[in-house]
Amino acid sequence: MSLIRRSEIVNTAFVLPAFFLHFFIIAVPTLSLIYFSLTDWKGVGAPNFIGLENFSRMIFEDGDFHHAVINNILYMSVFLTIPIVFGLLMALLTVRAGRFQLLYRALFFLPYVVSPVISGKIFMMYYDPFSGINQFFEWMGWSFLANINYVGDRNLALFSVAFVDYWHWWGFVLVIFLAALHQVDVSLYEAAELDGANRLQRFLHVTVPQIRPTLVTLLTITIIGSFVTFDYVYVMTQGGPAGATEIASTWIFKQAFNNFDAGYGSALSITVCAACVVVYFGFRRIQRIGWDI
Amino acid sequence: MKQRLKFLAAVATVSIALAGTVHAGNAADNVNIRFVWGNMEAPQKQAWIDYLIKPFEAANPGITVDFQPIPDEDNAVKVQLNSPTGAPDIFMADATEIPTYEAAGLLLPLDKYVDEYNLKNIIYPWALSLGNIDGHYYSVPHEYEATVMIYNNDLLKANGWPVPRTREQFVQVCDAALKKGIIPVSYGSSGFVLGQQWLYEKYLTNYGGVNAVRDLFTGKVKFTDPEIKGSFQMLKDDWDKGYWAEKKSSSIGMEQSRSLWLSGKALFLAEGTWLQSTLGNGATKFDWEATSWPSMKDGKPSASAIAVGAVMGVSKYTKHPDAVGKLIGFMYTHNDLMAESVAHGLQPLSMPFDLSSLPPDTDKDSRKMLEALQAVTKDPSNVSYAPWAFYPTKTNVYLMNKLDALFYNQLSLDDYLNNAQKILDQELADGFEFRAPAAGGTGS
Repeated sequence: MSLIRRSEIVNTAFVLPAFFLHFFIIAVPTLSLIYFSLTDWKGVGAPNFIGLENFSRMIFEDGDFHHAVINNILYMSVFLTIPIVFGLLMALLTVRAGRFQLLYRALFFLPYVVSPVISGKIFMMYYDPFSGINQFFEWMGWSFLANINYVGDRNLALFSVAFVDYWHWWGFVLVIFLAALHQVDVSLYEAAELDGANRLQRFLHVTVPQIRPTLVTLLTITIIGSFVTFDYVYVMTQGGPAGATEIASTWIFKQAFNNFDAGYGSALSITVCAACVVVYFGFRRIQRIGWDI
Repeated sequence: MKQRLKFLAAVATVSIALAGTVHAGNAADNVNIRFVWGNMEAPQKQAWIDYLIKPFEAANPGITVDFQPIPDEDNAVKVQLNSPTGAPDIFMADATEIPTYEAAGLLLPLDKYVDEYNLKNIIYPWALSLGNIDGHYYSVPHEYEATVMIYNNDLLKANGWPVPRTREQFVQVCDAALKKGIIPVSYGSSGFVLGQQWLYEKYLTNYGGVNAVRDLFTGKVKFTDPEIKGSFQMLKDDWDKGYWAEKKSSSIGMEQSRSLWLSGKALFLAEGTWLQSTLGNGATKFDWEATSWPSMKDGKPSASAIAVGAVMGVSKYTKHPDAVGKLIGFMYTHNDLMAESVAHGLQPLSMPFDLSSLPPDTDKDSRKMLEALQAVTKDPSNVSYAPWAFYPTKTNVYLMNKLDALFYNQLSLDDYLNNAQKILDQELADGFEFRAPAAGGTGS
């Protein structure tokens, strides 16, 4: 046996455990999900094959799911801007903090390690119109703020819930940006400065191109994360009031578990999963072609 | 080195073999039952252990019970029941879920144990009948409960308002409370959609009436029937008027709603006797009482809805059916232990219960709620049906999920009810059976 052939077999043998692990933990459930999406499975008992009926129902009949997807897009659009911009801005400031940088980094990262259930419940207390932050505003005499119904107002509810998620997420974004900023070669800034570039120009022409891979990765994670987010909505509003905070994942959960409609829930899950895969490959493509912004 | 490795391998093999023998020996003698229940606070869990698990194990050497109260138990059980190796031996479920589990062939019939432990003569017939499918018992009820209006007596008295028993009084008290900046009914549904059924149950019971509810779910009348539609219309009107948490019920959750009432800012709490332990042990700093929700229409009596809070199902995969049957039988044949468990915060089992059997040191607020439970279920002809125990699942899920859409004018009342009717028609066509006694609540 040639040396190369033998080395291939050895390499494959090393990879096999990971492959089997991946196959049974990731691939088998995914394939079973595809199968169940083609059935009328109730979540218990035997499923009956119904072809593409679930997908047809999703596309033509389920207005609540369409509404949930629109909410996801709204959720995502804010997620793509506020935490990213704020995280980057704070990272730029923190990177100059010298010996206090570690302290700031730890403080800003703190929300990320708080359980979503805990932070969701805490913010619900803040949002409580009878005893929350509104009482403080009223005490201050700021009546224009004291009457805001954070999760009870249909126009505000989604953003009120999303705010808690941003609060949790931006610390992570900041830490990742900080790591990326530390990788930027200082000599590039010095060269730009010698060329007469001001701060904004240095940011646009040195910092941004240098942290672009990190930015793309964060955008990908953010988009996918906002499509599969679940915990904050579930803990705080369960999709209410009147569907104002309903997102795809909570709707899927309700179908699969509350309504004994796991087959349909599987079809919805497959669709959301497919959308995330498309986004992922879209960004991979952008990364490959360079993304000259 | 090789010799050492061989020696180690031999020692390991012998150890494993011995361990296996010991384990197999224990397994042959001992039966372990996995008992999955909903999550609960530490004192309740302790009451389960002290007044059921430990006494049962002491009375049945060789049987141990692995009691597991877990969060989101309902969904965990739905997944686990499918697995021959992962299914719990005995588990908690909503009564309305049992037909689905039975249809999927996941449950063990319990007729043998119902007969063996004489449960037909012990358990309330209406409660036991919830588990009866085609003449066989697939579940046995656990605790029973009733919906009630819990009111702050001090606040009513301080303002000279009566305890409302009629629609007219209810409206007068609510309007007067709103004028004084007092919240009429404390209620929160944010993050707790299940609570929505507490609202329409009260109007269906006290405006539509017990018979209208029965007729609806047996297919004799539609959601568009004046009694049914009128119930939802009145609920919507009352919500618009701010009776329900000043139209902010979507802004607060269940715990916040309870805190609001406990803080004395609201007159009524629209829940049920399951709050026995929550309101006990000094949680309330004022005088309170619990009674049926007032009549919402002339000629319709003030009534409460009964429910079995949870039923016990047994997996068909259990390897120890007799031990599980023994546990169920033990539960229902030891009144002294039940009295102790009730005194320590658990709800009473679905059987007649003598309040005088409670230990003298039973918390007075817990005792008060137990008295209310007996009072509101005293007249069988005047007891209605709680949605979570009797209504068809999909129709009820729809009513809960879309009630906010009605409140927020995202759905017209006609659309809300027509959609509900479509789902109900389908469930009736699929064989839904309304398992409630004809005479109402505790009758039969």
